[in-house]
Amino acid sequence: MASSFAVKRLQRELIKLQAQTPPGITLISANDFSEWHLDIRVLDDTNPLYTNQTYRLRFTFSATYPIEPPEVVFLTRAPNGADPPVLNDYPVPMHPHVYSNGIICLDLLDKQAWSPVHNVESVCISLQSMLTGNRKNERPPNDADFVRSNMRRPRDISFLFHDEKV
Amino acid sequence: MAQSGSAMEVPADFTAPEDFLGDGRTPLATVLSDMDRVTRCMICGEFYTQPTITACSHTYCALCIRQAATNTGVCPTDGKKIDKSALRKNWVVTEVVARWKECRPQLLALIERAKTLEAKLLEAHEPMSNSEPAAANTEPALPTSTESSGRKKRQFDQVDPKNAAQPRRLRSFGPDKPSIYYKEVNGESVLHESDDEHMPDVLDPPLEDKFDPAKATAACPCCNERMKPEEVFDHLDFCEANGKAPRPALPPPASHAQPSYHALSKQTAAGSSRQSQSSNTAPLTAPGNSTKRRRIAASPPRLQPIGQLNYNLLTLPSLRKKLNELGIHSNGSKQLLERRHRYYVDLYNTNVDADEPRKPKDLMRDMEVWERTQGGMAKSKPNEVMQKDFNRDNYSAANNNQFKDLISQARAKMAATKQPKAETRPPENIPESSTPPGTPQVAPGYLGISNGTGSGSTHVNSSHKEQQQRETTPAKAMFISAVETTNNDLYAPRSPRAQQQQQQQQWTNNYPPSSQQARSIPMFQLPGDPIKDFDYSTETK
Repeated sequence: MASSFAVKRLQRELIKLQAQTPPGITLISANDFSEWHLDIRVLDDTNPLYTNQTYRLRFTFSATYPIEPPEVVFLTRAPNGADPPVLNDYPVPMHPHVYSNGIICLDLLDKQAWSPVHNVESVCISLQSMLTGNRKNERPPNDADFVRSNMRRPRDISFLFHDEKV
Repeated sequence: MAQSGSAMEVPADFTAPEDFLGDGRTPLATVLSDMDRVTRCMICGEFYTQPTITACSHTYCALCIRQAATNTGVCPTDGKKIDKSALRKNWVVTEVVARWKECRPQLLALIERAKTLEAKLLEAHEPMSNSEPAAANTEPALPTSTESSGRKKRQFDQVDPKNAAQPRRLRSFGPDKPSIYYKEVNGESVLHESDDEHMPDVLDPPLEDKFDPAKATAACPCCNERMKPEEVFDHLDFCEANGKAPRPALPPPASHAQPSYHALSKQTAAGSSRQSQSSNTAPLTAPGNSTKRRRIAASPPRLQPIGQLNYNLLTLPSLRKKLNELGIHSNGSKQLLERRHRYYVDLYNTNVDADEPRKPKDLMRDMEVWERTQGGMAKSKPNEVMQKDFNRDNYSAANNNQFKDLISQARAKMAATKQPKAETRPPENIPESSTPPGTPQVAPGYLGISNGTGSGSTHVNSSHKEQQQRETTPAKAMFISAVETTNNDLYAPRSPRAQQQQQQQQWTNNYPPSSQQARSIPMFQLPGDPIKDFDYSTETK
């Protein structure tokens, strides 16, 4: 799927992640070079929103990675999970920039603000810090509409990044 | 975690900065690891190939930064705008990377040996530490800290003049007395015996390279003949092999043919300054050497970089022509042609900057790889179901959860809207195989909308039928909905029944289209506006 360029780079990252991950980040599965799953945890225990919660991230890499950003969403359910399926196998963190279907509105993951020097690890750390800094127990304002009507992949959505505080 | 490694093996030639952190983060290991890290491109993570410096003084591989600049136009590190024409080769980094790659395996081997030696030493110490328990506590610590770092530094010793900071005793011993050196470090005469057996083959290889004024020779980069370093440049003017070797940019890397480090550093320093200046194609009047003639004669005809195109101004045929001129494939949509051209320009211009330009054939091979992985022949995921060898059963098994989930959601919604006959189908009838992975997520919202619009009790039956129709295939459903919406736009509010009739009428009326409607203008009638014949008008001049 991915080009040799992307594969080389991902292989490098994977070996590093398998050897060691930063605190609060766990590599769950990376069976190929197109989709990886990682768990993140907010390390700040004083933040009541995320205490004792683990969130599962899904990274989807294109052939142009790392020139173009990976697609990163919070998983809401296991891909081959329980039968009958349980909605929301995994929690999606409450955050004004995270939709309840797991789509993340973060400029880092957008084409414009993405930089090839970022990697899976740095994205995870950024998301950790994004959650850590948040105290608002809310979803984005148009969450319900968006979740119901969205049929695009995150990469095709043109987000408007307005909030400089996050 | 265990499963994650199964699909992918670590390649044999894989290297990473972490290689040096094998025995924890000792200060030296950290420095070496950092050293390794700074010789790697931030984008691809490999050692720099053709290190290229940007206007904002960041260095990347030539191809990496060109591709990144094509994509976003800014520097990946600080986000400053990148002018591709301002990219320059970074000679110093080229040299550093070449040297580092060369000494890296030796360094690692040395560390490894030091470790095994240390283990042996500790074993040898065992009986003694039993008799002197007090000394045993301090003793192992001494070799670990000074010995391992001392040895690794020892190799740097030949390269790095800053090594004066080393403990005095390390420097005071001659290069041919490894055993004494070792003995002194441990401060035990007992060790001397055991060291003698293996010390020479531990420390000998690097010591051979040690600068020795009597033996100091340098090889001619063209004919490999050895001579005094000072003579090399004069010799080059008359060297017979000179014409055949176009650019002896780097001294030969092989360790045996290598000149002493002293001579080497002199040579490379001269070489790099020459190269960096000659990159501007300005002849150099360097003090003290006579290489000017050689450089000019030897430099190959310089390739010219390809300029970027303004794709918006080009039509598809003209863009196709441009690609043909460059000798690359010109099939596909305009968007694909643009992407292909962009990549080729990056590839080509990288090659222009290259020290040893690759052959056009190699570039074409790269283009083919690109074509397979990212270009027109790339398999993109949504098309999985369109593949010839698409496995329907696997696909439906893999997505079964999602489908069932969607069905249950749809059922719940239908129950909520209290439709009398909530028509549901057994799951196995769903033609899942024709559904691209993206669409199932669409379905709930879509059903919700259709339920909302299909209100009115008289309409239930027909809407119900429509529903059935709709669910036959998503593609068909979408088509139907599209037709409906356009129809709704055209024939604004009427009762659904009338609307349907109207629709049918319309279709029967129009197909085949009657000739009456097609010609609305009477045949023999002059048009209202006077006709102006532009061909013969004088005004056009």
